[in-house]
Amino acid sequence: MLKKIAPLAVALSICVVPLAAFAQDDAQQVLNRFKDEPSIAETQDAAVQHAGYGSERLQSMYTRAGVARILPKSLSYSFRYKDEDRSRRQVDATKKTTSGGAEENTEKNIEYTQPTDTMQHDIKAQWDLSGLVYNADQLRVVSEMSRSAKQRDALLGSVTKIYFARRKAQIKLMNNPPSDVTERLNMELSIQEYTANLDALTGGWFSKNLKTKGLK
Amino acid sequence: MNALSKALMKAATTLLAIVFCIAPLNALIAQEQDGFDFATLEQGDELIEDSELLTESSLEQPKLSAEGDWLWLDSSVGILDEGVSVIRSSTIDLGLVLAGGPGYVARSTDNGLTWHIVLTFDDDLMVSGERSAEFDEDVPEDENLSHRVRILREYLQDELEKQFGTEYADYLLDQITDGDLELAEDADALEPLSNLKLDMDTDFNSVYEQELIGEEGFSEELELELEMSYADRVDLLVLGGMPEDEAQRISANPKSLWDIVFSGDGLSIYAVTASGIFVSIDRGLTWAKLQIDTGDERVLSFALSQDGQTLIVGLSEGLSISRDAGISWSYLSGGVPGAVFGSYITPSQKGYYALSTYGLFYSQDRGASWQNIRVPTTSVADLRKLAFAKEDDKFIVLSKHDLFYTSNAGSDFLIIDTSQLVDSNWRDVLIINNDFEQLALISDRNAYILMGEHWLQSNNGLLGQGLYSVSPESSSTQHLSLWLATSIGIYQGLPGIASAINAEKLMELQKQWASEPSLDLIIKQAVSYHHLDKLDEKNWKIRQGTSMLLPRVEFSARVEQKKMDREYEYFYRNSPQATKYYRYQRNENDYWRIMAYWDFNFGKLDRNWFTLNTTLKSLNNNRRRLVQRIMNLTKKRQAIQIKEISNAKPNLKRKIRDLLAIAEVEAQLHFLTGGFYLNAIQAVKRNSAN
Repeated sequence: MLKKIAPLAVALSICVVPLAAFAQDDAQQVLNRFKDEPSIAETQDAAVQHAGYGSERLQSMYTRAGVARILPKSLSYSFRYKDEDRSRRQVDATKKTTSGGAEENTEKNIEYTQPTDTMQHDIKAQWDLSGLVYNADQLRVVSEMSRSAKQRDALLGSVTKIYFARRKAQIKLMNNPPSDVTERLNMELSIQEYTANLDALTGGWFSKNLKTKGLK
Repeated sequence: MNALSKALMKAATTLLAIVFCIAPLNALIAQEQDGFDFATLEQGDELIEDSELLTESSLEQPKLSAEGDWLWLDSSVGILDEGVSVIRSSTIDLGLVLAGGPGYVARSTDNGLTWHIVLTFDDDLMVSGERSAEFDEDVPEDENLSHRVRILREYLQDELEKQFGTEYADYLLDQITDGDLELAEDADALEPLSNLKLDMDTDFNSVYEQELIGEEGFSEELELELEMSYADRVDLLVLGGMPEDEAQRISANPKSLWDIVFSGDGLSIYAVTASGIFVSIDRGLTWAKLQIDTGDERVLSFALSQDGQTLIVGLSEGLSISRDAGISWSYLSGGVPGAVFGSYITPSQKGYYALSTYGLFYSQDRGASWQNIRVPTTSVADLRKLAFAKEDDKFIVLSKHDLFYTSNAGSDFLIIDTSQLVDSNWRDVLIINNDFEQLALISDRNAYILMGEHWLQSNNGLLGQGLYSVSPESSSTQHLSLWLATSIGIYQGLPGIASAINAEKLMELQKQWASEPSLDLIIKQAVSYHHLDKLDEKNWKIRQGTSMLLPRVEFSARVEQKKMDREYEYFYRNSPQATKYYRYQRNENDYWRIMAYWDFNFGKLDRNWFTLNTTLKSLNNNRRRLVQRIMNLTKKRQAIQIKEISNAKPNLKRKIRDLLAIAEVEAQLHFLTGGFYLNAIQAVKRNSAN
């Protein structure tokens, strides 16, 4: 009986296998083979970190630019100390006639000392009140932020393109491995080139991550 | 009996095997055949509603008919976001399609699945050969720096000359190196200028931004025109107040691609550009420029006879003709006046037509003499192009606002009624059958199909982009299919493809979209991440205006402390006794003062005003571009998802390509939204899995 069923089973399997090959999940399975590799989000993060495009610095600049105009535009303080010591000696000489008719010289010596200490504190502050309502520095920082974001987008655009170009090359090599050695080497070299590019953009993080996971 | 039962059993087994093998294959074939049938009436309304959600423009337009719904699928992998002005497919070499736009020609050998740029041209520059379009956008950093230096140097030259004269300006500029200009943010930071009183905007960033806006504004205007036809461009510029001569000169921009023409035998392909005519004899892989002496005139149009012997080139003044397959050329002086932006040879090769800025002209004697044909348009400037039926005498004249047809070589023209259509800025027309009963017509925004007497608006899948030309797709023998060249890429239109879309899958897809972050939220995140959410223009302007009324305030305070001690002593000479006096005195004085200074010189040039306007303009442009980019990416993702579920021929390679394309789009949205997008999408997936 088994012998009779066998050809039927073989025939069934032959028919079913090609149909299954077209199942939608197959594509996902192919992509899942790379699930241990760094994800695009992680790679983008690494590239941003490596390039130092964190937005905290610029955000802090924006806040500081806003606060800056509350403080005076110019502030001056001066201190003056004057120590003036004056001393004077005065001799008052007077002639006096005594009762005997004799003349007597009287001399009065006076010594003056006059120390004078003067301290003077001057504070002067200037505010430009227009800066409290309109601060051109804040606008400049916003402009700088936007410029920096553009550069960051360009960087991440490149990272994304290279990442997916690498993935396409990997899938191509996996699904249609060329029989020709040179062609195969070329394909492998192009994958290595993409990996090197990603390394350059992430400061070596990409390959390091692959090595950590034992994928390289 | 035993033998009979054995034989019967064997026969039954074989039969069963055959049935089991064939049944699934039959099902697959049936699925494919059903795939491109027209939608049933029951499905129609539901599918149309679904499709309408995908397109903003279709919501605004009335639906003319629910029958024979068309769906446009994006086929721009490799050249998406490039404007496409022309697309043509070979009728001989099935699967070979060529398309192009400003400055480039791309080819696809897999019927539009993937594209590669094979020719770039700009005046005398020409690069031939296949290359990937993926990394073309990046501009090297050095190039940007040298651009900034050049712009700033020119700016300083102009401004310093105005203030100090040429000689002193040159002297000052000689002392400023390119390196200084690269680093300097402000003119005052440059040593030779630091002690000068400069009456100009000294903020280099603001100056550079302003110059960029000026340049971009100019190039954007040109880019917009470069995908349009020559006649549309001239019309637009003249309407904008430009003199006609100048409009014609600018419209013949060297980066313009006018047409792609396949020879009758399909072996040669011609790319007709304002920089000249390029020919390829290896399926569009490499290109060579045809040697045609056009003098100072630009090429505007091209026609090739069926046998490949006669070539007509329309020029910005007159036309040239070759009757020996392009070996020798003769300029037809006095033939057709004006700029010849349309050249045509009839199917039987007996008649030549030319559309020029002076109207429509016809030659019955192979170009020896030409006669003007009067077309009942309000103005010859409205003429756009001709579309020929299979017979010589039958053709359509497309004008900006009307559609005329003739069955007697232009002796009489009848108008094709387009009054029920909502717009009229016609760009292209395609004759589907010989009796003018089925036409494809596109305006700048909408696509229409004429079925008998009824026009069907067919925008499903289109995303509100600018439309430029329509042409037939040649690879399919089972059904009609069209190509559409648009401002953001190439679209393939299939009739009744809606029926191929599994309604359940589409509903699922829509549910998925509904649960995903909305476009508003994505844009908000992206704008915030790019620090472009602080651009309340009105607020900034009010603040800037108010700031001019506020004074500069000076506060000063003085504290003065004085200690004056006096001491004196006296004695008499004759008396040893001394007398001492002491006097202690302390003085403390406090003064304070507040002064306010108003500058009432309102008439003076306020640098803040210029800086504010320039910066806001630049930032608003950045925001507009960012929002546009986000919208394009989300629409592209949706288009790929629709294409994925509407794919009637499941194919692993194609499925992987689609999934990767979706993942790439999502990754772009991810970094544009500062890491928001993928996290949000994954959260939605987790929730739906739970």
